[in-house]
Amino acid sequence: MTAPDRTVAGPGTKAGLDPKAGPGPASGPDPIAGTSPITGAIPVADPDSTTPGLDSDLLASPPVSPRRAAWRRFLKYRLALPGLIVLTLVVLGAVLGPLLWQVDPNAVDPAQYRNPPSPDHPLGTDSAGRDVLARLIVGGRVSLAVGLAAAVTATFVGILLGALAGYARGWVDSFLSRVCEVMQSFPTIIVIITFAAFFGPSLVTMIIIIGLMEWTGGFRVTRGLTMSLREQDSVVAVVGLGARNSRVLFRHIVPAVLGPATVIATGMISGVIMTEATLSFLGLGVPPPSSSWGTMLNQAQSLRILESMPWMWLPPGIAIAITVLSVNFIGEGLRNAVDPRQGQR
Amino acid sequence: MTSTSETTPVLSVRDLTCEFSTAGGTVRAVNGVSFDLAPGETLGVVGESGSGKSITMLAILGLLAANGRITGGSVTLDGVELVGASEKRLQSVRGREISMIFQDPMTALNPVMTIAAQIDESLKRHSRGLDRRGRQSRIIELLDQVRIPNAVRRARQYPHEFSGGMRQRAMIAMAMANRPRILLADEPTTALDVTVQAQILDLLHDVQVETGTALVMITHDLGVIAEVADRALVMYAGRVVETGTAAELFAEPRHPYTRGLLASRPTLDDTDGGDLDAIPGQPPNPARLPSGCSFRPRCDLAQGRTECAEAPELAVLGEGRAAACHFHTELALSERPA
Amino acid sequence: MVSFVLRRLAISVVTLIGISMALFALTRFIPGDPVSMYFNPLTFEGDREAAVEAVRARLGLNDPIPVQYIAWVREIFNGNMGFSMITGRPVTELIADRLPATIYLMGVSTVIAIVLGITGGIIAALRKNTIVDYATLLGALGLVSVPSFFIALLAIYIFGLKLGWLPTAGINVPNGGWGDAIRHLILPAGIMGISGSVGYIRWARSSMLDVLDQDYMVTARSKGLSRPRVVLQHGLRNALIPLVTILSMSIPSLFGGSVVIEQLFAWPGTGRMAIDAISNRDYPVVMGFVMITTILVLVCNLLADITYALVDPRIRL
Repeated sequence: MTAPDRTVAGPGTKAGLDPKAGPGPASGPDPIAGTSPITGAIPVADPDSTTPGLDSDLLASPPVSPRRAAWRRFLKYRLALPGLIVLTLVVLGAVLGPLLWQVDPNAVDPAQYRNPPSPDHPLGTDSAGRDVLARLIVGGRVSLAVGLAAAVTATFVGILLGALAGYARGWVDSFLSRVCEVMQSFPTIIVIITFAAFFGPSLVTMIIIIGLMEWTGGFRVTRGLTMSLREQDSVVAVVGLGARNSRVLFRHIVPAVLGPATVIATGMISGVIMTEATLSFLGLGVPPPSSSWGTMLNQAQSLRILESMPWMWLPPGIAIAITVLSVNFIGEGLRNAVDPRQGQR
Repeated sequence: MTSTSETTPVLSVRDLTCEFSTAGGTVRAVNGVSFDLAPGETLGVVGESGSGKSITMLAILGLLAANGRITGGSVTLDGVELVGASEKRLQSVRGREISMIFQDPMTALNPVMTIAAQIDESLKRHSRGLDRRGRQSRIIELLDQVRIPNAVRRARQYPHEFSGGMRQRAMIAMAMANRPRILLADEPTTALDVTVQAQILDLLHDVQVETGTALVMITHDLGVIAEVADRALVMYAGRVVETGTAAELFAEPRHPYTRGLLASRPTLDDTDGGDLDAIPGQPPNPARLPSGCSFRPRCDLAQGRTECAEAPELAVLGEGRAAACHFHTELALSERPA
Repeated sequence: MVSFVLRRLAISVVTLIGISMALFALTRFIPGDPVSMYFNPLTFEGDREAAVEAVRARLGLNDPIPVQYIAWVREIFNGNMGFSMITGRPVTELIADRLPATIYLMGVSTVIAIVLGITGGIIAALRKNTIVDYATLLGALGLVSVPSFFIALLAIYIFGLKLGWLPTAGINVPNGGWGDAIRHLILPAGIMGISGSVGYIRWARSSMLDVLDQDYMVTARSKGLSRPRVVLQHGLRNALIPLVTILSMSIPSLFGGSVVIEQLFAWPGTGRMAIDAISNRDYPVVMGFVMITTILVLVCNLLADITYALVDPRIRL
């Protein structure tokens, strides 16, 4: 009998509690089944007693192209499309906003000290008399950019290491899997705080650290996929023909991993946006003069601002919530699209 | 049915129909099944996967999955209707009047409870007269009865410490805890090794003789029927297609499906190299039954005959003997296949 | 069992060594020489260079890095994690002062998270595909979409400042008694607990759904047990076996969460201490905090593994 397996694919993954990582506990192998002495060997269920519902797939839908089918499954999660629309609006706002609202976000005006919303400043002004709306727009750019950059970095690192582990196997795999395990059981934010403490807050440091800390989701999926792909005839054949490893990697493994990787990266974007906001809120993230939504919220640590000047901290907080929520909606839809079984649970 | 005192059935099922609502629409998994069970008798139910045998049994106990329900017919226990009975009433029947044994003892026992605790639950529920000590000794007695050696020690163990055969014995002990009058056994030997299968069948037979319980034995194996059953039903696509005593079914099958099943059985006197005459085709998908006679696509009698476009009634051929085929007389005339 | 525990222990020790090395390496990258900062060039009289050099030699800062690392580890084993550069107090003492408050907060919020999460998850599972289920899942998704510090700000704004129902800072007031302590606890522990419950909700739901499909659930019903009884007795027990594992998985986010919540509610715990230390560049305190966190996380994980093996009768190691 094996121990409760907390290695890479086992139940002891962070996925269960971490909204950033993977499809949640539903997809992971059940710890009971994983350690059960009774799996395999025996025909699992009486086919007679299963409900005939399983056959409904055969009845449904005439053949459609895989892409169309995936899009349909995406839409089947009813909040996916609204999420996509809202996120598009948020991104458009951040990108095109400065064209529509041509107020300098960094223009200090002591005369406009902490003014409530007015026609000139629809969201009021902050402690330096800067326009909150303009800062919200540029802050969104920073938050979204950090989210995207760090998530892509982390996913890329995860795919690379996962493919390496799954392809090379042996000690490389055991080593990377151990490291992954350790990373998962260690609080990311503590590491980032430590780095921020020693090197001072910096945008690039933060992206790199998040990228290096959050690769475990991509790693697990890629490793598993690579291992199973490696056994497939087509891959075995090209390896047998003497194909170079890099060729096998990029022609066979990377394409297969792209779908799941997109899901993971999407899930991570929302997590990273929140991490960035938290760090900036604590004063350890985006350093001045640039500002993100989290930085704007940092001012609310002052009770006076919190109590009497909600226009300074409510808008960035709501912006974070709306953005992250719509990314999460899209993530759920993508999960359906990539893994059809998920939607039925 | 005739109600002479000797044949008053303990369980009577009439026109039982069960439907499941699925994403693909409503599926009728059991379609007008009727049978009687006399006290102490053994009734075999034969059919392939998906023929509705297990669902019939679950429906009798009111244990259909959440998306399934009984849409017609009746189930009476000693003349008292169970279909539509309150959940409370059904609970007092389950495990006391009617017990059930499941196919796979690997998954049918709770992995985190000891064998004793799982039997004890049933005793606590139904044998209210027994105190703790009384239940304890009853558990040991039951385990002895199903020939589990070292019963005292074994009772404290968990299912994973038992072999498959031993688990099925424990399962039988659990089912017999309150001396039920009816035991529904759903392919109790299918998941077991061949050598163990015979032991479990013997055990069931012995238990039945000792306690006088009636037994419904579900199986897809005609050999099991030949060994244990007094009478048998043959089910196909949710319907009963033939009934009779085991001997009658073997000697003179009156439905092409029964005939096919018999032909596909390996026998000891099968000396010509064992090329089994299996029934062609697959069991039908209950969600998409062929129109008319469900067996038509696989039937060597149908061959495009127009009668088969209509579903045949179950024609009574004699006392306890019936078949649902338009051409059952033809079968009576033809010889039993080798 | 023994070999399993030893293996987990070995992994933990290796992890600890790795992290302590990384941490030690970090201190070598600190911009600016702490010793030269110690001697203020404006007020120091005499040969400052020589004084700095003398102190460096005395502190062993001129030794090779590995020697310094060993010396540092030896000191930690002796219970010496250095001294705060601000207050001069031993780091061990500072942490010992602060740790109980953090563990108190994490403990209470974990209990809240588990109770809320498991109840919610199981209700959602039993009402699968109903409005209750969808509302629970949507609520969970909503909760993970809002940073807990923003929830905390809103809660302080509404319950503390606008309605004035609850205190928003500190762990208690002197001689406040139990009632006061609980009132101080409600917002921080409640917010951490609600945020933490999301993971448990999702896990409990899917775990329960798996279990509800199991054959032994039908067996239990066939014995005449009522459905609630079957769900509680057979379902819950099987569904909750991995709880310890899930609990151990929640520990990282618990530590992360406590840093933020302690900062916001002026909670006198280690998280707040760490943030203060960072803004003061009080490196020994930061290092002590990270070391203690690491050790606690590793110990918790180890305990979870062992407990899991003890809870599930099928695992005989």
